Amino acid sequence: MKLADYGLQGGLNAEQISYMQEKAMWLIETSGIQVPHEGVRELLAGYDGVTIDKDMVRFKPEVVLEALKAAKYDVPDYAKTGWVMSAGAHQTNCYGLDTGKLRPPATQDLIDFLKLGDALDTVGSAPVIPMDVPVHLQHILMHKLAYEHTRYRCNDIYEHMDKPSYECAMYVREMAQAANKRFAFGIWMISPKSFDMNNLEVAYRLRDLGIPMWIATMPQAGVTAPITILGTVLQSMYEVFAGLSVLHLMNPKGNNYVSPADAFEANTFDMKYTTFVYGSVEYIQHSLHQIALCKHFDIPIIVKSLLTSAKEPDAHAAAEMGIHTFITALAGARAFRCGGLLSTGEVYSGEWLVILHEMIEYIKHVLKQEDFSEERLMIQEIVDVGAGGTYVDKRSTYELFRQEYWTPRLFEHSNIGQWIELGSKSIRRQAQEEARRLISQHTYVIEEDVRKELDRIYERAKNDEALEKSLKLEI
Amino acid sequence: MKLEQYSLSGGLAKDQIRLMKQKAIELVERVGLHVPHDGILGLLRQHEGVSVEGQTVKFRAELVEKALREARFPLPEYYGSEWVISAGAHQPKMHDLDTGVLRETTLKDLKDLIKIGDALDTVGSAPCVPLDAPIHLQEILMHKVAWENSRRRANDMFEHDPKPNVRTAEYVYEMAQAAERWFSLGLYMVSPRSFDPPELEIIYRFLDKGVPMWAGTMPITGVNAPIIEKAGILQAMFETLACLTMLNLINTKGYSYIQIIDSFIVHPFDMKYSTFVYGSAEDARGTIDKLSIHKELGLPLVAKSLLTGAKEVDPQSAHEVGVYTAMAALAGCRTFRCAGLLSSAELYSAEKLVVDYEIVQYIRRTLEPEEFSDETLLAEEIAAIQPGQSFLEHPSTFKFYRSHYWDPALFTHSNLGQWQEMGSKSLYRYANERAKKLLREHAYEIEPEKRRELDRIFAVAEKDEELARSRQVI
Repeated sequence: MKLADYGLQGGLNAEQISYMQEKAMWLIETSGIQVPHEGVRELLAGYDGVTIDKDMVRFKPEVVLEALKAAKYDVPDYAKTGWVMSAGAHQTNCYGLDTGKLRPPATQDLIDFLKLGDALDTVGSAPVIPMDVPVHLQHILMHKLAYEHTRYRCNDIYEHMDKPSYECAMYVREMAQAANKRFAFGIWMISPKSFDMNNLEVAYRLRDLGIPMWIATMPQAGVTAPITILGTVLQSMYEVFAGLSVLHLMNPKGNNYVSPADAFEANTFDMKYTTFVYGSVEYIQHSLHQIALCKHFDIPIIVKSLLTSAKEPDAHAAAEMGIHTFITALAGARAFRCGGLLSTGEVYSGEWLVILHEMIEYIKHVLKQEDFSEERLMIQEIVDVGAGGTYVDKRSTYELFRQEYWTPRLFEHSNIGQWIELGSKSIRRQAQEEARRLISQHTYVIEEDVRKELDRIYERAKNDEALEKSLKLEI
Repeated sequence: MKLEQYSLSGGLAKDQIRLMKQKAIELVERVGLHVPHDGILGLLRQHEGVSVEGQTVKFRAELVEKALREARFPLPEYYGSEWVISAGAHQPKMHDLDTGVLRETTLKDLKDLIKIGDALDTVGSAPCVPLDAPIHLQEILMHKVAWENSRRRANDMFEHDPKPNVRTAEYVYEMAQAAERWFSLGLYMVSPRSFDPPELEIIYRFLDKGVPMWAGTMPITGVNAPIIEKAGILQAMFETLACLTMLNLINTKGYSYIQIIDSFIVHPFDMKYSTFVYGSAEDARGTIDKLSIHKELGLPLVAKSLLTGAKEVDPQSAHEVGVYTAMAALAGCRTFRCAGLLSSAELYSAEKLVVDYEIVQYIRRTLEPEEFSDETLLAEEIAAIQPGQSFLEHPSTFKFYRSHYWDPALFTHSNLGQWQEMGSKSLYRYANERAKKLLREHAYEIEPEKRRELDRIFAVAEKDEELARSRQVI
């Protein structure tokens, strides 16, 4: 007999979720969303159930429900059975693995962090932006290097890489086709209730290619959304459902879906520091709402639990990440985002990723399945071993001591004397050494002919004036 | 309407716990305990349902059930109304508050750490051993200093300060009466199923005083208990229930109880390092089993969740403490033990105490149920806002921005630039500064007349040659 698996009870119930859905539909139908793109509005105008008043677009509930029903989620096989860690979200600062100092990442950092992430089976977006290359090539290079050095990175539903212009998107698409990797385009809404015009323009121009498109929004409580977490989650639901409806109607040749990476996102905001906050108490509460809603609407669950507002890989970072990940794992999450990120996404740290990997292994072992039987109560051994006796020499001890207990790689069980004899190494230093080891021993590379093709496309991009112009800031 | 409170599901089911209890009582009846004390054996022989063969004592099931029924758990008032942190278990080493260097603890450290703990409302045993005092006075000082400088320390059933011999116990007893503080005697068994004779002697010599006595045991998997954690817990149940039954029969003038802080737990053992392990994944699971058994038996809930195998205040310590404590809290526990301890209880750190305190507050806030209503959904405000507008100036923002969000003392939400402007201080340094501030500002001290009486008793103890001899290793 198995012991009942550990789980989480409480939080939003089905009735409360239905009430929120009803409110979201009411907002979509009565308030609508701003679509600041004439071409998109013209496309939408042709559909029943759509009302357009200047640049505000409203949808009947049937349209929204149809969009929700049509959305498909191509969850990769590895996520159907295992635990998934997504690492990185194109950070612009990193802790150098050599010096431990903060600095802007370069192309070599991007390669190193991709290799490190691949060695730890991570998925998701590129970890850092290569700040040493021209801005119009950065996103293309992030995709190229991810394809070249990793198996999962930038290659499934968990990535959310920017394609900031149509020209950039087309290069990335060409590379994805050459490397047989996944390509999707995402739209981030601008709360409250609007879109980035440029983002819409890219989607509009890609609409006939039959590519998957996703919608996401990131309202901030008290700033671009109501101050309460539940109010912000409601606004998120409303915006994302309305956004999905736009995509569903304008991109009929492709699959349109809610980005699981930021589904029902509600960001908290600290009024004292005027900062966007991840890893806070309230953000955990949001994640639990997010999980309940994703289950209800049949959207894959991935929680942004690996984020923290801590600036260094320290106790603050570990407490926030550990508690957040553990509670969301209890609630059913098995995919976790933003590994390696510190300072609410401002910084990437390779050693922090290594530590996170250990923390997730710990949580897996806390939640492992366990048999319960009279045999496992070992009553006869208890009877047999008398006062003053020991179990050290028992066959059962020999046979089971490895499988009953997890042997951690970093969170070791040495005593203080042993630790001092071993050099009194901090966890951070051990993690740095492990990160360097994993990078140096990483072996995956893409096939040579594919690499050559990616090089050829990239060379063309380097000399493309239209691409360069597409990312110039025009004032 | 509040959202339903989050709680843990799964783990040991009621019928599984009942089976374990049944098997434990069968072991008490069939296998029994080794009681190496003639006086206690003589007392036990007088009771029906007790069988004594040599030094092996077996109890009939009815006596075990009776002992469980008669056990009393005198919980302090704060239990049940607040989240409680127990800090310290008489550690012999600490990180120096000024230099951060690991060193042996002194009497001054004991005072300082008790004051810091008191400022954070902690309970439990003395945080460290004053190793600069003569060995025969150390335990007496631990009680004296705790009572002089704190309100809750060494003063209720969450303490487990040692009284290593009769003479020491007598001094502590006298001081407790003078200071009007809690006094109890504990009996930690020696697994498997035996006792330390000197501990039995203390119990025996105090039987006429009517003091509370408790039963505890700490079996270790694969060493003095079976390798499988559930089997180790079964052994802990067997030993604890047998010990409680014995105390219930012999301590007729006082009441007896199960030491709830260490009951029904088995300690994982790392075969690689040959170390006792706290804070591991298996230790956390074992504590959840313990909490389930406590609920089934109607015992108060306490979790030793603030312990860790980490050597420093680092990601390992915070992760182990955070996950373990969150799990225990979801299982309904609100009292958490061993704050400030590192390296599976080998050393104490005031900085860790401060961080542990923050972690407990973080978990407490996380589990507070949110209000679900139109007032918190704010759909009308969402409807009224226009693209490009902000909620910053809305009345609801002003109304809720403080009450709806926790403002952490340590885990602050500054951004990278702000943090750098403020000096790029590490969390450890913040915790160190906070500990020192708490120490500076601590104000509690015992009434002067009680202090004078404690000083008087201590002066007698200092000159007591019998006491000094009692701790000499022969």
